[in-house]
Amino acid sequence: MDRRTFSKMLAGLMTGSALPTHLQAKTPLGDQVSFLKALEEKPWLLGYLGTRETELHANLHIVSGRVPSDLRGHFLRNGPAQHNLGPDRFAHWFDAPGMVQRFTFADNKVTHHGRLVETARNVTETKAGRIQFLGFGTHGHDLTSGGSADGQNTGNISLINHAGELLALWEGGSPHIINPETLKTEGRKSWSAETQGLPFGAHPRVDKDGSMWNLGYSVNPAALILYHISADGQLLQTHVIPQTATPMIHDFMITATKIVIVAPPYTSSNTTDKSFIDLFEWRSDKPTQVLVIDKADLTNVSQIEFDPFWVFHFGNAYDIGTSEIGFDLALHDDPGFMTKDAFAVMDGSWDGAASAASRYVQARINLKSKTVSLDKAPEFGQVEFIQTDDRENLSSHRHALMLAQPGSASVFGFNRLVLVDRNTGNASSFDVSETEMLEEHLIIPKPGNERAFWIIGTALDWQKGKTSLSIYDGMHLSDGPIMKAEMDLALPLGLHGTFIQAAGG
Amino acid sequence: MAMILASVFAGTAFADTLTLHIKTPSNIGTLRAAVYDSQKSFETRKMIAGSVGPTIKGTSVLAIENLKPGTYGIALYHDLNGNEKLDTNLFGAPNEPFGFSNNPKIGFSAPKFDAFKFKFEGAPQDLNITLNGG
Repeated sequence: MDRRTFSKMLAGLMTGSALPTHLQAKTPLGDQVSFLKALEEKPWLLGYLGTRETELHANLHIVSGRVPSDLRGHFLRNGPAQHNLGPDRFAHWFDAPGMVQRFTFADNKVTHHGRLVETARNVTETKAGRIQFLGFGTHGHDLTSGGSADGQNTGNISLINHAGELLALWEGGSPHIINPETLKTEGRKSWSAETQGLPFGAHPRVDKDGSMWNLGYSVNPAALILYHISADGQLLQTHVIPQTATPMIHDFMITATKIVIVAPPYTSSNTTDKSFIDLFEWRSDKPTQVLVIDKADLTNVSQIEFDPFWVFHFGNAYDIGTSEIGFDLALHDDPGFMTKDAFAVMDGSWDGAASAASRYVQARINLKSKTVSLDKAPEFGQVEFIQTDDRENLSSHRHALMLAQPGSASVFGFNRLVLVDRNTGNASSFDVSETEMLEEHLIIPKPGNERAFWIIGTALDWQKGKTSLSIYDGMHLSDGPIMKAEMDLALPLGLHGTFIQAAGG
Repeated sequence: MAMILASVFAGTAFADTLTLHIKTPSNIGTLRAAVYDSQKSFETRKMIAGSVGPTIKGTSVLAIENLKPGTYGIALYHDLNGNEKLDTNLFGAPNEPFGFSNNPKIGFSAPKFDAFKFKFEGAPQDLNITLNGG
């Protein structure tokens, strides 16, 4: 990033002049000043700078290869984007209002459009130009909860296209319906009055019949809630599992016959009016609980205890006979990524050491012996954002795609794509340049071919100050992208995405 | 005679009107307010007075008349679907907008009476209440 670009960003950050007087008088929240100072010394922090725009239209310039003519549709990504509001800065990477970035492939071209997820909270705060509500990791004495979980809803984690609706997902409250063509937010999604506003996780799982399962966790009352929604969007059932201390659970799994919930010992042991994360405590003296629930009878639960570990994301899970379940995951020693690193990138203090190891693991649950076996792959280094091919859902999947950081990192991010062939045990990989940070990549099936796929995803080149979009041939990942397009701006590093195939595509 | 006068005096002379001003975004539904005089009356939902009125886009006004001097707390909600109850979800969280006197900071559960109580002196009084959630 050159000096002029930086100055422009700085000027942009410091403009908060249109604020009402009562808001100007408040002491700024978060640490915008420290972050900007750190950004000068650590230009890779650009990924955590954020945007002040509510809508973005970037030009995409194809720098190599071409868009395959049979790739048609929307690649959509979500993530926290407005890290600064007026003079305030969110304290945690997961806190900011969400923004959907859409990349549309058609006629060998790709175009971009980004738009704020217009939750009530995001609209209020953007209009005020100040942080007004408590967040996942941001608190302050003037902040309120907004009266309900949805009062804090930033809609900033992920997206799913189900039953003809594109939903922007958060974890603590309602999904929001997004128009995929205009990216306009069309309101909160509720399946029934009983489930309105309840926690609805960011990683629903789609079953073979097109129905969708999801999990939510609630601190007050302490409970887990399971949802089953039909392929045409009707709520089939909900099931509440009371807890004594609620574990934070970001993802879960289904197989053809079971639901698998992994509950790390990161539980709501505290009472506080600070941020959400302050409610939780890492209990390394407690086990990770694995709950295996019979899909046909949700009250039929097997419980297995395992050594404590933390997990954000799983790959795919599948039954092996009637008494075993296979799956893969990115296993973390503890939640340090979330409790330490994700704060440190926001005030710029991250010093080059990840707080906890995260390893690619192939795991197996044995329901008879009530054991879990883990096959760790430390050779890939730090890994996250595991993806599998939707066509292999609920069956023993061949491929697992992930982002990796193979060495000791001087930046907080990933620079290697790894595709594991679980049948052969081999892995192929591709390294982006040292000045690039990868975001989640997806496996997109090639039309008309049962096994072939593309790998599609974005990366931020913090030196150039540009986000790029790449397409790889899944069978030849190590050859590098078959198309790479650069944007004329740097998008904030985001979280999860989805792909909507164009009609007839 | 003096006793009768005293009781009439105590019962009516100081009673007056409490007026609530609530910012409301639409004309849909009604506002329903309840007056409580203790944590117990709030917990058991035994209101000592109440008021119901239409919602007006901009600012809606509810009057609670003949309120005697005392310490009270107001809890109100915006009855969007006109079913005369505060709709809640499976976990008991309100599905409709609600507010309290003093506009206390709302945490993960309902505020205590102490956080939304105020003194009513028996003279006309106005309160602004902000709606949350829903």
